[in-house]
Amino acid sequence: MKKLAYFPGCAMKDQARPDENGALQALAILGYEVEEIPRWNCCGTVYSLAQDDLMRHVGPVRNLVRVQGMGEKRVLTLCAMCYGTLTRSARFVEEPERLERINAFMDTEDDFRGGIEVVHLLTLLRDEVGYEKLASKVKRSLDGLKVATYYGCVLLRPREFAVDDPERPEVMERVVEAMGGTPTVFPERMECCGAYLTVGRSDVVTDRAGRILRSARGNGADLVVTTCPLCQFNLDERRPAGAPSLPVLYLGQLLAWAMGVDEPAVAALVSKEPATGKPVPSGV
Amino acid sequence: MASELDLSRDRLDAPFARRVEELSGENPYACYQCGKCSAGCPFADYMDVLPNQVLRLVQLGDESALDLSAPWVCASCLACGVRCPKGVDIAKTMEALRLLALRKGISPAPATPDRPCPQIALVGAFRKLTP
Amino acid sequence: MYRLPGDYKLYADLACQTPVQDGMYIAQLPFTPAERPAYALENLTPDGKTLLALFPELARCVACNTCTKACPQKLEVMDAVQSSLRGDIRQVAEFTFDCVSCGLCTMRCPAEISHHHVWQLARRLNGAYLTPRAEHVKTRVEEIAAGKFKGELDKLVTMTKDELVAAYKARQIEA
Repeated sequence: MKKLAYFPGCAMKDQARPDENGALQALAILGYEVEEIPRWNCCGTVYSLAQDDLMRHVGPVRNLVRVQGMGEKRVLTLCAMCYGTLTRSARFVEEPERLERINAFMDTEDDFRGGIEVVHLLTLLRDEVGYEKLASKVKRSLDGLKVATYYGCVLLRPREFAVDDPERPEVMERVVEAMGGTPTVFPERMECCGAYLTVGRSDVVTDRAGRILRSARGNGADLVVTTCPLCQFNLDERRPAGAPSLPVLYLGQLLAWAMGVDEPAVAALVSKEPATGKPVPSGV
Repeated sequence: MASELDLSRDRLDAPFARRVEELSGENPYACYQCGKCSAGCPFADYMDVLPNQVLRLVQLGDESALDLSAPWVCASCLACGVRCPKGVDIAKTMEALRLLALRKGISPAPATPDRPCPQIALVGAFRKLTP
Repeated sequence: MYRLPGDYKLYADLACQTPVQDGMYIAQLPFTPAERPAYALENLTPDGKTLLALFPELARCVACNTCTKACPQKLEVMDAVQSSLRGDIRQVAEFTFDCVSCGLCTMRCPAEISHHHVWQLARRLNGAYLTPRAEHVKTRVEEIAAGKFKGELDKLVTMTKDELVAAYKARQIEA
């Protein structure tokens, strides 16, 4: 078993529980001993884009100090937003003057020394596990399921922190293929759902959700998969009346089901009879 | 009658533009107004002026950029930044405009949930939209 | 709140528990205004959504840890805010068990969170919904209501002071 420090983020303990449950069980099957970092705090969800806003980096950096305290050199996130804030803050405070100031401010913690790598589940599957090994662990193929791979924003932008090519990503498609599914590439897969505008401008997000879901369905998808809890919420909970009803699931749920773990949300999809328009995948 | 056009270079080094540059770390004068940012912005439909026009106002040192709705509709998705041929990360310019208002205690964008929201949304909205 | 000579730090402690030191520069804070929305406990569910709906400013926490440094009870205040964000009510109740509602964290918080009111709600939710019911208390209350101890209680009411003292001294004490 390979030890791996893990930063869950708030959503994984709340509305994204199914993602965490699924992903952690899948990672165990893939040979990882995942250890949650102690006393972690909220990453801040949105990265501060200002030059002088050091306070907004305290949360992410404090988590990296915890990883450092575990004697680990890297930390895993499942949530796209946590990936964004942790990677970008880690880089932002690499500048010595910023690092010195943030360490002086966080006087109750050990100094952050930098050099912690933040990995997202998708890059771990691609770069370390590999698609072939992933495929070899699949017990139940997603054969016949057309999966719209929705990236959203922070996995792909900005370019320096993207998990893949920001305009032509393929990592999520390859992961879906490794599970036996058919990825649905659709134009809106990299277009923002509206993120935090869901708080005061749910009208905008409802409109965005409708466009994204219609684009996915229009390209033949049976479901949408994402790694961002805010995208999942916006596409599902802000779905406008009359928009396609295809389910919006987390990557962790698909992984778990494919590897033979009980996952009702996916089971419900694949058990549908061909008469309803959904083919029954082989190997079930 | 046509109004006089001020072609002085003074306006092209406006204190306001420099303040926005300082906060954002992005040089507004790098923009040559190609409009690629606005073409790809998923939120352009909901903005009062387009992202490239926001940048134009900043270039001109026009502080009315602070009264626009555009920066508050921008969701920091960064689609503009990855596509800018001049490498301007316009989302950072939008952030600077928001911060200039927020640091005076002004928040023109609603940050009270109009429908139930999970914490991931609230944290994001409060960080971007509240002083 | 106080400062000590030659020390940049601002300290917060309870006056009733802190010895005066030479050169101490003290100001007393009688009260910290804090927002406490009205709620009916019986209509709430014990999860993070409830805390956030009533105290949305929790989501403004930047994890600066200033609250923890201000706490005279040495509680892990910031960890309690973080547990609130992720909906771990039981953890919040445990972290804040010794909170005296002095409001010093609230005074110092850049996110303007009304900590002590959140903690009180979390402890109430924990007590009302998450802590196992004490079955023996329930049984005993039912027994009292059914009159099982009526005879003994009636006898107590009519006893003289000397008889009461004697009975008290002779009472059974649980080992």
